[in-house]
Amino acid sequence: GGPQRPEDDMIRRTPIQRVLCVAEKNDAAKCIAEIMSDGRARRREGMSKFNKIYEYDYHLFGQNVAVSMTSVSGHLLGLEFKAPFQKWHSCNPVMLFDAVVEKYCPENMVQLKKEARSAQALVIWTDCDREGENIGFEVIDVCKAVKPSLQVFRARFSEITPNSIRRACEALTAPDANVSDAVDVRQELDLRIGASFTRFQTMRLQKIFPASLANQLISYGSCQFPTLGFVVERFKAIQAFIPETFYKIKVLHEMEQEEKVEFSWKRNRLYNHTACLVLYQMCMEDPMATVTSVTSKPKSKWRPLPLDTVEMEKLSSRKLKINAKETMKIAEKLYTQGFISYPRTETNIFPKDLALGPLVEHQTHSPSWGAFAQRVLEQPGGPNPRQGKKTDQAHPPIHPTKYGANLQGNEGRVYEFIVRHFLACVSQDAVGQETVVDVDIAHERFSASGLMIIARNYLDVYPYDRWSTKVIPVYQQGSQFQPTAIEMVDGQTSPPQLLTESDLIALMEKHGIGTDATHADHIETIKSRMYVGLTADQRFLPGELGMGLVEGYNSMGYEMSKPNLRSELEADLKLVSEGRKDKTSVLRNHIHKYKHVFQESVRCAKKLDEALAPYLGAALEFTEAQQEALEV
Amino acid sequence: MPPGTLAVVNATMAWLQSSLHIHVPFAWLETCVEWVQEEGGGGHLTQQQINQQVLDQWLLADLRDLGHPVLPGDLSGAQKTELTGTFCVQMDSLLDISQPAYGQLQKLRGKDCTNEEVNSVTQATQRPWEARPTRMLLLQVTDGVQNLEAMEYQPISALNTSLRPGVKLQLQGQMVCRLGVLLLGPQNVKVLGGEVEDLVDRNNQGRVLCGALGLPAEVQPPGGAEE
Ligand SMILES: [Mg+2]
Repeated sequence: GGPQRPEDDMIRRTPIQRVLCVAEKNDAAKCIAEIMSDGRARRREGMSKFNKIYEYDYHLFGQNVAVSMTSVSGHLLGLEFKAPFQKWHSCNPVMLFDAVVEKYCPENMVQLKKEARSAQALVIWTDCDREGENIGFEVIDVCKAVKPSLQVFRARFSEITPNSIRRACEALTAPDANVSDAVDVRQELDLRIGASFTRFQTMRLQKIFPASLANQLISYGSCQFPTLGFVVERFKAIQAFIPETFYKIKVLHEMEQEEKVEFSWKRNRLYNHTACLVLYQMCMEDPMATVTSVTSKPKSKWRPLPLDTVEMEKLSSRKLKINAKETMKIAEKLYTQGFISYPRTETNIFPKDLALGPLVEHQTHSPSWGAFAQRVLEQPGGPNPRQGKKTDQAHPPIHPTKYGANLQGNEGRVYEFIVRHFLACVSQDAVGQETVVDVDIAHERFSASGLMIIARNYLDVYPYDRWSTKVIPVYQQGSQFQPTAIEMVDGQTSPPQLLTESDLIALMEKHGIGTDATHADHIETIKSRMYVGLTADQRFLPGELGMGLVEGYNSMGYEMSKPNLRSELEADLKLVSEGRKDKTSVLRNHIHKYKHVFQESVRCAKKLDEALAPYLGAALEFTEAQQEALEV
Repeated sequence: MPPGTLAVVNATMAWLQSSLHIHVPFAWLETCVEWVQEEGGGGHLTQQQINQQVLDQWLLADLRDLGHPVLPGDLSGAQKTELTGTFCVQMDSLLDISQPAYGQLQKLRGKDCTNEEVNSVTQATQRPWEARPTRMLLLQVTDGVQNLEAMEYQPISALNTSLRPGVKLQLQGQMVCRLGVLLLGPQNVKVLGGEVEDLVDRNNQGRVLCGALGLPAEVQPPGGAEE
């Protein structure tokens, strides 16, 4: 290390006998305690019946110390407006952009304070992500308030396994204030923007549409609206779609004892009957097909990339039919129990120093995929992950950390998926041979292809992907044949489909709405507000209120339901967390932007009524004086 | 007509025919030459200048106003016929029929939504073999008397959807005509240029696409802003 500063010397000299450790949830505290104490932790009651305290001795800071490991339940502090602004009718909602806000502690944390008083050091074991860092600072604030001399450390880890926990203990660091600041900014903006728009639109619309909305809270959030916007946009695209008829020429060839081969037209489709008919007639007048080329080349089906959060949510939703919210809940449970690495990650590259062999080795015990895991260990060069391009520099891709034999239900299914995905990723691409036969009939070109699978490789462990053999008979270049049939067929273009949850997550990711940690929550919110519903095949359909709100805000010209505003905010939050932008100026800038949009929205509020009227019945008319009253 | 004018008209007629295979009625040419000379201040223009200015006028004319047929008669009635020669015609409009008109219209209006292409499958695998459709433009052409369609049977790089309605084309060589549709390849088409003022607006891409979709023609903003 570098030159030691005096404070460091002080820390070294201060005797530490008792260490308070705080995890984000009881589950995590329990598992970490079990690992650190080798299963010998004593348990006593903690701050609530859900947050126990685990006590044990551990070798830390080069000495034996007494450890109390406990937990919180997510955030300790809430952010609220100061008292005069808390009540709905207390002020004009526009004031909420400037009103003073304060953090408050819903419970008084007696037990935590007591533990802090008797300790000399505090180690933060919350999840290693933005929210976790922020929760860590909340714990620090509460503890330091009662014991200012407390020394504070941060444990950094991506999985709750013995190795990872031991490494974290050996390399304790300082908590990262930048990361926590980004959360403070996000919380304050969400509060101001959410409260102002929610109060404005709820109070107004309840009065204008008393019959439909009298008792309804009409919430607004700068993430939920763009999310809703995607659903509405797709619905409208389907409504506006105009189907068109197309025509094409299909060539069939049936050889004796062989399957029927269908050749498809290189021109694909024509959207004009006469033009297609002209070419069809030319083919019919001179129907002899000449084989112009036969090419055969290797073709691979790529094994999956290392699993990141968004990909896990999407695949789980599509392949397991478990929605993103539920998937994350299960994954977090699997993580706190030590079965998988931290499930919130943007990384799809395995770091070089992560030994994959032992991870694969664990899985050889499985009766279902154990043999495949063994194959991976024995393949030349051993586990060989396909690598992606993204890294968040914090956590590795999601992977199993131990073998789980007795997981049941959806927990079992999500775990199995993560394991199979991992094994597939470190195995080998499937290999095939594709044959393409090109033929010419009256100068029109047609093509047919066949596929022979040579080695299934990863497909053997990954039932979520399909690749099927397609047989094609042998054709000789230059040979000729008489097609069994040449047909002119027609069809119609079809509109895009309503969004699946997986599509919606892909859109949120593309436009930077929320983070991998929050996508599922925003989707849940628009469902619970009844802004959207699900069709029988689990696709998102906007509800009347959702449609009307999006149309109303769109008609004001401010793209409230478009992703731009929020994605700028999200990008700034990232910069704050990296220490590249200042917390205060980011906050000021975005408050200013949203306040401006808010004032414009109030000015054009009639457009909201007009957009909603077709769905909710006629708007009540108000006089100009009453109008003004509505705005307060 | 002043005595000198007849010679000038005949010379222009001969020049149009020999250099560009453009055939025009004598009466139209005569009026045109007189107008060109008047515009030019009388007598100071060379034959070459007159030729060029007459050509410019022809490029901007609606061939229907000239009413001078150059294509063999009743092509659209024939099931299948072949024609050889050089014919100068006017293209009234064109449309790419290898793509849905709806998508083309969205793109033209800047409303094509890339969000529609986003789907949940991001773990790309090697793309399966698939036909990559080649563009096929369908042209509405006329020689002023006979209207017919012409299709881009083989890709013709000289053609594109930003050609001005009313542009003049020179069709040349051997061409097959089936069901009233002329089959064109790159060797058959030369773009001469020009437009027809009345058609520029009426047959702009937006309107042609609306027409193909059975939508009412778009209302043009005042001042006739262009697409
Ligand atoms: Mg967390």
